[in-house]
Amino acid sequence: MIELRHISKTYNRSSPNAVVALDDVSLVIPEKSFVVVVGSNGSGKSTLLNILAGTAKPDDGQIMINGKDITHVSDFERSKWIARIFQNPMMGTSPELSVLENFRLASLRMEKKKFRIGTGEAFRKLVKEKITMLGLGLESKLDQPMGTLSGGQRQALTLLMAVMPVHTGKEEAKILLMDEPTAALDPKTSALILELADKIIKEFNLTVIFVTHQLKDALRYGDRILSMEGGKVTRDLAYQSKIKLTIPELYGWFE
Amino acid sequence: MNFYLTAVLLGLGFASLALGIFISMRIFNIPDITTDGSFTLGGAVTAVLLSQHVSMPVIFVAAFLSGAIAGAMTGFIHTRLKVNALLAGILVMTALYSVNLALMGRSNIPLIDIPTIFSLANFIHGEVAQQAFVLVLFVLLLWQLMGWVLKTDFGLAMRATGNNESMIRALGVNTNRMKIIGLGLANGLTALSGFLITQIQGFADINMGIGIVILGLGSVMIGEIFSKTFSVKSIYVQLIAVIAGSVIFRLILAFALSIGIDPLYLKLVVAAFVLLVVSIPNLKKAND
Repeated sequence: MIELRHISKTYNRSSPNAVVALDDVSLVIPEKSFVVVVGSNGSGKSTLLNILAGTAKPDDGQIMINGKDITHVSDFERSKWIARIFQNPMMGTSPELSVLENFRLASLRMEKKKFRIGTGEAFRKLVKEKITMLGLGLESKLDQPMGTLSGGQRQALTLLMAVMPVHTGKEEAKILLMDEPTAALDPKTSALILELADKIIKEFNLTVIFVTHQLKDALRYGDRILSMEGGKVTRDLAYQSKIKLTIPELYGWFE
Repeated sequence: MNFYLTAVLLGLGFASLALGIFISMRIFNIPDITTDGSFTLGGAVTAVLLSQHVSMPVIFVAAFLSGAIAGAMTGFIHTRLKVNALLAGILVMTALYSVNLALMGRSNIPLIDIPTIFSLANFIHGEVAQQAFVLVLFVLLLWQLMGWVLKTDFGLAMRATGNNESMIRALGVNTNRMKIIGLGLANGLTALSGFLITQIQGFADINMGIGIVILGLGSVMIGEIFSKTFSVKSIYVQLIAVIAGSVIFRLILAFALSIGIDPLYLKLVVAAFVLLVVSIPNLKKAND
């Protein structure tokens, strides 16, 4: 369970350009929920994700995961609980390392990286099996540098990488943060990536926060929807109300 | 002929420095000028300890550690005190000049009639042959060790740190700590070059490191041209290309001297050559 208690964040606080990104936001996200967040640019959606991931520090408030206060835990230590999918498909993978090596690092998200070779046959077999299930033909490219693949292919692999620790026997990390993961992709690839994400989320019972500008996607996915405006959560609909939402209604939220 | 053989041996002696620069520049994307100071530091530590008749393994470790500490300090200043990497390197390099002078007690320590690491190969006849044997062995071992390290989980995390910092932080790596370790390793390797070169030339000098960083940069870039041309993926091959780059660099300098270029202009030749190597890939691109 994720809990935000009275989180506030202002950028450039003591200057005339001060921007209030989050204004006393409190939120409880139970385990296994799939929360969609919509809102116009500058409404605080991305800051919300950054505060959770630890790449931005709140000015005020507390962040709890499973009852543990992680407000002062640094971003790289939060990887124990949290996996991220970035808006830019290039951000989630290391271009000069091979596909296999990227997967190796992802599988160690919750552990120390030690002086041992971990990309042996057993690991290669596991990764190959998982990538084959994508059906994108990438299983023959395990030794290619990640940078030679397209944005869509890299984003698909980043999604698989997010659940790699589970495949190697680690259970704790169950939170997935997705910040407009398909913003840089064409419509077809975009649909493919979200279907894949949905499948993985269900299969591994992940707790998800999904920020999107695509209203269609906001309706199709998730079991709860939040809208943000001026750093506050202005609407919060649970599953029963969310399924009744229509695109015109949702569009009206932005008027 | 002996002239070119000496150049090859020097190239092997500088291979460790080139690999150090490969780590700081290629893997971490940090232009690290600490090199000039840590190279001399390695030489100074070696000369001082050799004249005290300290045992060779101890000198070896001391030389590496001295450079590693200097590099780690640059890393600390850069990551924790948020000083620009170039300036952090310049600061440590400048400070090291005094440290080196204090260590040596004077500006030059000759090593006359003192057994060196090359004396370990005294089962072979001839000084040059002994040097060749030890240097080749050293470079081979270093090559294997570095290749292995860069393929371990730790090495992968290191490579990803320079490649995509936000990704590797999201995968649980403290990149600040990683950069401190990386710059430590890079300068440890540089100091090992100082250790070897001091024993090849038979003295340590306070000015032996001035402008030495360019040797490493040039070697890495020669290696890079090779790796790019043949789209090399294996890290072992990339490393051997850098080592070859170091030897080629020395051979080109030897060639420049042999065709009668005044040694006065040697640094000018070096700069012009490195400029050429750096700009070839860009000139090719412009033509496309």
